[in-house]
Amino acid sequence: MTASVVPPKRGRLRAPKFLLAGPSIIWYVLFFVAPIAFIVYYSFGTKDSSKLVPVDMSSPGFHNYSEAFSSTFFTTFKATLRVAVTATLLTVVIGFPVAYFLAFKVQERWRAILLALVIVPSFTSFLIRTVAWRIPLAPNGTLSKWLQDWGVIGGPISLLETRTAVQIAIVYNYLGFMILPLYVALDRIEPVLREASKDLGAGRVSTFMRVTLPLAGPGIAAGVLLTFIPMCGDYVTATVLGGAKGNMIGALIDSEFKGAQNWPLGSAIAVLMILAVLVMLAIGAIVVVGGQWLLRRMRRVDLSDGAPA
Amino acid sequence: MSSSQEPVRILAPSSLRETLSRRALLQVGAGSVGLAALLAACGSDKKSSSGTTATTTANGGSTPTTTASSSAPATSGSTASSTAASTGASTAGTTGGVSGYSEVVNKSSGTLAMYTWGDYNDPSIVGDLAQTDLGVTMKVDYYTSNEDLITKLSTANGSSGYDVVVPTGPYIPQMIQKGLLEKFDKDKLPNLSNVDKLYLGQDWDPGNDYSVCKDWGSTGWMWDSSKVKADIKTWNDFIAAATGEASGNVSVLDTGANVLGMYCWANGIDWNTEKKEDLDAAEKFLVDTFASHIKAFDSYPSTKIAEGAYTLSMAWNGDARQAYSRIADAGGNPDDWKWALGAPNTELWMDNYCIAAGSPNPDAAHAWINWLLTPEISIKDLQYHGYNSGMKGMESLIATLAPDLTLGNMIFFSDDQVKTMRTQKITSAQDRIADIYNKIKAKAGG
Amino acid sequence: MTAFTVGGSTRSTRSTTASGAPKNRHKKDVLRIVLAVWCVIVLIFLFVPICLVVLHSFNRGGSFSIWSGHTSTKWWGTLFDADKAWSAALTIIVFTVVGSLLPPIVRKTTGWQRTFISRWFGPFAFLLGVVVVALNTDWYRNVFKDKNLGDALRNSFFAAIGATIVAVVLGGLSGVALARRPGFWTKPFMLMVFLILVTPEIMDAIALAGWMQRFSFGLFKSSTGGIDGGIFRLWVGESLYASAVVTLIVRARLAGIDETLEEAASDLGATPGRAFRQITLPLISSALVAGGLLSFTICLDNTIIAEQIATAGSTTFPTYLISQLRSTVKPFVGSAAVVLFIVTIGALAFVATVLKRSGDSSSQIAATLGGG
Repeated sequence: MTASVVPPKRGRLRAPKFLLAGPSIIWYVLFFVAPIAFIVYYSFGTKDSSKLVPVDMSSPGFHNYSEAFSSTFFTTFKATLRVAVTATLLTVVIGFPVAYFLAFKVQERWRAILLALVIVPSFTSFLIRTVAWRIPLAPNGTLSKWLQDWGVIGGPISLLETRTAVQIAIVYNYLGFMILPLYVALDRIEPVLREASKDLGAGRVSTFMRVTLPLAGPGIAAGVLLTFIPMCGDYVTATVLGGAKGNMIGALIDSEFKGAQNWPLGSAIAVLMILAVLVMLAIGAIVVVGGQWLLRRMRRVDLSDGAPA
Repeated sequence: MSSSQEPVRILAPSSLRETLSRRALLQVGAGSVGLAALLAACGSDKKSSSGTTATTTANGGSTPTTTASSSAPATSGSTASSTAASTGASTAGTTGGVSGYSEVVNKSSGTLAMYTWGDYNDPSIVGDLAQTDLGVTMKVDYYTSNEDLITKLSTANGSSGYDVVVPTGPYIPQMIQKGLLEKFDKDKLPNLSNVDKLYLGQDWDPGNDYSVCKDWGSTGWMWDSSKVKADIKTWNDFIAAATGEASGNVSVLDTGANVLGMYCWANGIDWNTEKKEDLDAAEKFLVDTFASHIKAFDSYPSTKIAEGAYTLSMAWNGDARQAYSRIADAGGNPDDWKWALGAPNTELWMDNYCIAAGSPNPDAAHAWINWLLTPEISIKDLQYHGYNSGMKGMESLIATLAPDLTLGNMIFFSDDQVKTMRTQKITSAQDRIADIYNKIKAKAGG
Repeated sequence: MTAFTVGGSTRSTRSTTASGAPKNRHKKDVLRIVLAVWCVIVLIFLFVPICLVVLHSFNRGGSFSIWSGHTSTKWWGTLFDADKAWSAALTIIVFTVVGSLLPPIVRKTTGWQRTFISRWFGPFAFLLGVVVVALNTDWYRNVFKDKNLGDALRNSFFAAIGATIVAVVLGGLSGVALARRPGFWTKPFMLMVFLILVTPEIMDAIALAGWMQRFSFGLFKSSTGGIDGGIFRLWVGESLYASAVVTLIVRARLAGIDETLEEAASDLGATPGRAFRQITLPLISSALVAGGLLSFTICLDNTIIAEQIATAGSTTFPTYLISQLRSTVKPFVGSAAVVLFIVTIGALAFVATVLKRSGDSSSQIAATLGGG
């Protein structure tokens, strides 16, 4: 085995740079890029319902985009964003203590069971679970009657077809997708780091804020990506529980494509929505990066002051 | 809540219960046999004179009607009997003693896929019974709007795999034009002669070459009289109650046309208006004033009415009728709920059986549609969905085949009522209506 | 996205932490109890709807969401052909039990022992049972009395399994490529993956529905061996998002490990294929399993894309349910959901068993599942 043998072998191993990704590239180009390109192309056309594909491309222009920038779009988008942002924050707030408990505070043999219990609900159809929320929330339902009999509430529960119901169900549906990345991120934190922080005299709060939370950052980011993006596009949950208050941007796109047969406008709204979500993520990233920078600055000051008592 | 303990079939509030005594009906039924035969003969005369369909002579229901196949009877103006060309024709069950109807049932095989509106057929008719009577295994999927159906069929372009679809009348011309529907082979639909001529040869398909009436219905509203005290008689009352007592607990049908219709009917405007000022005024009222009172856009409110989600709901008559049994199911009091047909004007819609282009099993599709046009099956289906299925001699059919039918006044309408009903047209205002509707939804959801 | 990867490396030190720091014990316990209570509350929150689904599948009334006050198994009877369903379930159970008990018995009685066989006999018997029943029941179609819902359940599984396999293969390969062969193509590719993740499903759905009609031939049209041609469309539609997720998981898993192992293998004369099989694949196996499980749940729940591109023969359970929602959801939909749940849990248990037998420790399994 001399050194001269190595280079050709290495060359063979490295030769096709993206060969392994080849199947994916073909698959995505064929079934994602090409069809989506058509839809984006349609967004410059005009509606012509006499055709099988109801789009007339004879006079392309940006008129759909100016139409899409209407108050309808903004009202709906604002409502969607409110639901998605609130739900994302709620899943973090609800999910973090659970992930923290699982990662640091529970005995090994319980951990696997609890983790499984967190995952198991997401193996039932999310749609039937959403429908199931109608049962406890119904004004004439058993829960409503019990609560009234016990005098907990004055009148029947009136949560069905409200935004609160949508909020509950969306938080419910995506909670697992937040807890798991959080847990995995927390679990990767070497206990030595937290011990060191404590040995250096940092209190529990201080350790949490300066060691645990920053190290859990990637997990929170992953969780937010995994929940926020689908929430923005999810309109099924809202349709099932929200009634008129469950008007989401996804439903608007759906109704343009299917209800109004207006593919060009639907496409334009969809393109705008993608851009808006990207902008939101960018804003989120900037906030996080900015926060980290601030944190780092503060920490630097602390250290230069010397160790606290 | 006391009535909830009774497991009897309280399908109707006592005020609406219209069950007739069996004996009375038997008498009527016996008498009506002759009448029905007369009517049938009459009907086939008229139909053949209009030259649209093949007719089958009435054979008293029990005699096999298969004769030698005749070619292209559709254009023959005679009353000569021309029957099923396909093999294996047999007669439907002879129960009920209905006479004067064509009773051809063609056997078929394989799978039959239907794309239809929600909960729109008796489960056995799309299940066991289709298997035993026709030898056909059914698959049923549902859509919520005609546009859904059109999108599905046009994006699939003949590869959707569906055989039977059920569009509403006014949408049929554009579906024909786009090539989404297959022409009927009328030799395989001898039971077309059972349909009341009133419901044949409609504007959208004068020759019934692509479509045949499944059923028709109208629009009205239901309200919980224990919560909404007003007596709601007209669309103006409906709007007043919706923006007043029932505000925030109102559901309207999930179609732009119906919401616009509510405004037009209340204000004496033609429902199919294309005038800009009418639509502007409608938009102003519906978006600025009405939208914020809406709780949900719901085309099938019956289940949610039973859950207690609404106190006032715009509804189609068949779904409203089903609401009564659901309310009883949920332990509510059906007597609290009142139903009224829209006034002064209201909708008339007709859904039609059609065969989708590229249908994998057109033979079974024909056999199934033809089977649905036999009186027994048609009435069985009617009892389930609660819409008039358009059979000729309906009164005697009901008396004979469905004497226990409840809430008949929610299925059948008087001539005076029918006169107030208007059919939707697809006009140039379609985009505008869709836009208004999206604005209403955005406003209601904001 | 790095958070997905899981290693067992930090575990060993964990036990010392839990029992350490006795000074703070009292304070720590308070926090622990508060957190435990919170965890229990969250779990109850997570399980309430599932319990309601199970309960309401025994509803006597005609609607899933309205409790009639009486229980009844009639809706289960509507869904299943009781005899065939029981015999199918029993067959699988008998196969599994016999398969699991046979090796120990054989070992005890005859002393004959082969580790490989005794380790894999149980899972193999289970699979055999599943296949035998499948062949006897026209791929489980005959188990159901309500063919509509039965077919929807079957289709859901066929579609989700196929799409998961596609997603794991594609995502695994491109994840390795991204981590090991970065180059000019990495950025555009990552952009594409990211776009797949942020594109609203309804847009994918419409785009694919229009696009697919160009593919309405061959595989996509005809039925092949009990599987409807429309299922293959679903494999395509459902695999897009799932494969993007698997790509990110695998890439993240490999990002933490440098290439020295593969290089060493190559230096020792292994062919690239062998190096991949023996070094890379074991490295990413936990990521593949986690990604596969995540894909499976995503695909099983896919509603919007499936609704648009499914044909009459490939309606899935969510599509069926969403069309039921347009009028009234019947209680047997709850029964179907329960069945879906049980079968999925069964599949999960199978995966866990396979992982365990192939040497992963139980905590690693938990962590792997945790990644999903």
